[in-house]
Amino acid sequence: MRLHKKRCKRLILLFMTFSLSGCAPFTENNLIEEISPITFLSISKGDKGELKVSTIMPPLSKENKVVMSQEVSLLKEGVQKYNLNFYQEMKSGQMRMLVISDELGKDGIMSIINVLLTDPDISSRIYLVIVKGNFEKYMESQLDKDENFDYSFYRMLKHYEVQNQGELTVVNLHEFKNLLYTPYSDPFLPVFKLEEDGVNYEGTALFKDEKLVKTISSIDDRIFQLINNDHYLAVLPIQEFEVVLGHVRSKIKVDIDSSYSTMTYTVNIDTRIEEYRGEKQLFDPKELENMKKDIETHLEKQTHELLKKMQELKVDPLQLGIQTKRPFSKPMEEKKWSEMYEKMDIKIKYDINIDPLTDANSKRQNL
Amino acid sequence: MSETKVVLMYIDGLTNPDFVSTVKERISEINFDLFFDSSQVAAFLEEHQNSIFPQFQQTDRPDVVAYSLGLGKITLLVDNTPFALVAPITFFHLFQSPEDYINRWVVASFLRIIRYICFILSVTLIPFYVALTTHHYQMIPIQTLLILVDSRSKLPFTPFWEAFIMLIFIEIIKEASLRMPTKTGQTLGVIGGIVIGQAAVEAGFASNVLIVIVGISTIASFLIPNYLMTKANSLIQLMFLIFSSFLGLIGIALGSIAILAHLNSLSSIKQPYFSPVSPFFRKDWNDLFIRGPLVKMLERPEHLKPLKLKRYKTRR
Amino acid sequence: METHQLFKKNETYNGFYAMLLVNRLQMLYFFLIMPNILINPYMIWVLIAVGILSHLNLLLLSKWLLTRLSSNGYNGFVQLFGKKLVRFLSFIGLFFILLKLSVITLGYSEIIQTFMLPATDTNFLVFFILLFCFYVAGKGVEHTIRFVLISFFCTFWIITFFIFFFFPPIAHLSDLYPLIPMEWKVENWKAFFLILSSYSGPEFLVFLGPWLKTNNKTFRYLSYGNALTVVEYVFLFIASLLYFGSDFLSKSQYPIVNMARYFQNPVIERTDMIMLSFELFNLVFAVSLFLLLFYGASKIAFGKMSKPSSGKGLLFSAFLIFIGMVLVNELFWKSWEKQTFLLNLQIIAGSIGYFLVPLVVVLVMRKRGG
Repeated sequence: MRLHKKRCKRLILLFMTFSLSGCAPFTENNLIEEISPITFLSISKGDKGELKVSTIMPPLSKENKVVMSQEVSLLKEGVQKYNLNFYQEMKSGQMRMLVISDELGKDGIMSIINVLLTDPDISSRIYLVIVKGNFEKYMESQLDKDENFDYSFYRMLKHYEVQNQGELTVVNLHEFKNLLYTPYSDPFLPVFKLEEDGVNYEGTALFKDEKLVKTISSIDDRIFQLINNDHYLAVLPIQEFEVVLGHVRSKIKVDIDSSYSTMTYTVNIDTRIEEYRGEKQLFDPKELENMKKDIETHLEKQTHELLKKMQELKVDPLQLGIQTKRPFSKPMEEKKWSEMYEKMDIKIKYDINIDPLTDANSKRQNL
Repeated sequence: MSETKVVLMYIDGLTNPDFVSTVKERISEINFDLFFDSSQVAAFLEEHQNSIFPQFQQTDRPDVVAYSLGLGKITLLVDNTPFALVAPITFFHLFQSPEDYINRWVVASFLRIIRYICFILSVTLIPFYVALTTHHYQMIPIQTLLILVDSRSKLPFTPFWEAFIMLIFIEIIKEASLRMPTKTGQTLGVIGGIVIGQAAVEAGFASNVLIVIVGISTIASFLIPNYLMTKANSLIQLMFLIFSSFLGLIGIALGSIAILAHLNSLSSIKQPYFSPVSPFFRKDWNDLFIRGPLVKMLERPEHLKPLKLKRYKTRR
Repeated sequence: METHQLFKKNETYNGFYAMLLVNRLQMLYFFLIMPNILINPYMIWVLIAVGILSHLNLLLLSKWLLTRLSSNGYNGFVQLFGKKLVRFLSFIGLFFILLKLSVITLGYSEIIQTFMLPATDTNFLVFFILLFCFYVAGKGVEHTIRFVLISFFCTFWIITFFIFFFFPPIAHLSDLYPLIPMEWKVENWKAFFLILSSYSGPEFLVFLGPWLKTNNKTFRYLSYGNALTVVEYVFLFIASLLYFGSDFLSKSQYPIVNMARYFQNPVIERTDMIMLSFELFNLVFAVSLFLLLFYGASKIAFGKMSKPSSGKGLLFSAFLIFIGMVLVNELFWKSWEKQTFLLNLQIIAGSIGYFLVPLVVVLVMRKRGG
């Protein structure tokens, strides 16, 4: 028996050495020096309803990079066509970003999302981004200036995602997919605008199911970050009162009445004043109270407008519909909810706690 | 045949008599002409000749012998060799060093855990590198991938051969520095390690990432207190290397299954080699991966089946 | 040198081993795909309810293990059923073992193929897994039972990572609503039997009687093992509900693996690959145990009990199983529709086996005992 086993082992070893001397015949060749793992794909609308897929090759190296684009009808076909055009095989296992043009977004991106979801190589942590403008052209202009701009872009998104920095919307595939597939909710994505000097964050794109319907920007976007996405903002400038609120943290409470006709949306905010140019005595409790009231009504008005907009578009990125789910009753149908949502009377209430850090602008009357 | 004297030591009334009878029987069966080291005697007493794991602990420290006797093990002294043999030992005894019982228990536990981690590192780090670079590029973080692709792009060998050559090379240096006088040995280590390594990178034979990994795993392999085990290390590493280049991480997993199954079936003078993990002795875990405070170790290890379990005097 | 005896018996193992055996045999393949079929949050209650049912089953099992007959192994069964019937039953048992082996091994290799080695033929993976199982099993029943400890320590920690899903921003309590079933669909029966079948596995302990040291605490340990499994199942199911939401759950083929892919680690990405590799420990343990059972059963079935067990015989049965698996793989597993058929078959076979084996054994025992 012993002898037998030993011989068996030796045979196996022999077999292994033989197959190692060539390349192993039955595993995928993933030698990292022979593949080019792409870090992002940019997809936009091509001619005749085709997709235009482009990326930078070779990724992750200091060699001369070129922008490559292909017009294809299927996404994976594009990947395959690259292989014919380039000396390294393209692999999607290191994909970090998917850049989608806004025109394509308006047509619907369900099929693209499904491709990403089905590929077991692609992590569900890849970031989805909407861009306005021609990304290929932008890439070509950038390649001369900054060879690793794709990597820098990725690092930026990652930075804002990790600790919920509260500046930009950052959405990864998993979050998008969940919002897309769960009833009573609609996904959203960040929008970047391409300009001469670089990519600028514009705001958040709201989707109705798979289709982009509206981009919200500036103060609307800030409020959106505050009440939904991050519940945190590093700075919130309010020009009307010449004040900048810093480190704004919010807590949301949603109450819905039993007939589902009115909803009270309470936002509790903890913040501090970081800059003030007005005339008010911030260390005077009364004046601070006034100031608080002003800010509250201002924010209430803005938020109300934002929600109104969402109601008109019938999009619900805030997942308000989830509030109707109860542990011991059958969930209502999505259609019914969306009808109700349209007509619903949403009351916004802000409750702000301010910590006045500075009093420097006051005219020192007390002295 | 042989006239070499062997002294069997144990504490009567404490050590399990089974151990004594087993060893006595085995010694009486020895039929060989010449012994010049105790490990040769051990070779005749072991059940598993083909295993790379030592089943007798060799030590030249009286304190280790005394401590082992106190726990209920047996010790063999062989004439004309400085090394005593201690048995039964377990796999985990290979990682215990006498200093563990001198340091404060937290420090000692930390050092012991480091030793285990280093063993695992020394055995799997290079295979892991090969597995990642040949099969699972998805697992490498993008920052690291940037460095790796850059350093690997102009190499003539695949990661497996690159690692294989470097491993053999390290073994040559290790062996060479043993054969030389102490002072030359040190110089050789420096020349071999730094100069040739650097030159290999510059000449484009090896990637600098691999040199770093080989360095780490070689140094890590020296942390195991048992000399025989340190030597056996590279063999396990080589086996893992072959498996990993073959099936990637699955290969490494299969390799570790084989090693663990092997350890699981080993025995040292008929006592299971992988206890107290398998078979399981909960109380002995106090002195296994961590070295618990001495006041908590009032009982002798159960897996040694001593006749007296308590290490303290009972009043009644 | 001692002679090689696969079924020799030097040591007996106490309740702790029985507990781990129960737990690890229940955590084989089905838990990886379970959320995909359970889907609805109220299935949590079914999981718990079936867990309690399996508890009762273990009670019967412990009754059998406590008897003197069980520790006699083969002779005990002969005393119970008579020689002919034992031979017939073990012949049938061969198919049950083969089916279970095929489903867990092929299922696992398919997951490996999907997520780790996409170009590799699953037959090769099966070959390698069986090769190593043969090595483990070749060490004998004793060592294989002891291997459960290693397999447990190598796999149990994986589940702790899934705690990550119980914290915001992923966790919303509303994902678990509604908690009670509003309607009972036909698919739910499939889910029910799937749960039942995933709890199966401990019935094989019936044949390990000689190696288990039994006392009045045995049932307690068995039920601890079962309870641990219930906790693990419920934990994983809730985690998958929180992560996917019950609406997407049915669309994800391997929910647990997909969840593991979401973990982030600064040193190594895609930690799921490492977890899957560690899961191999459990698989190899179970397959080697079944391999030994298969060999033992085939010896009984073909009336070779008097002959000593040998490595050659084990190799031959491993080879037979390999051939069987390759056939099953080519004929059923590779095409998706037929795979569901095989899965359903195993679901039914597992449930029946788990229910009948302890019940029949105990009933016959009562009858014989008077």
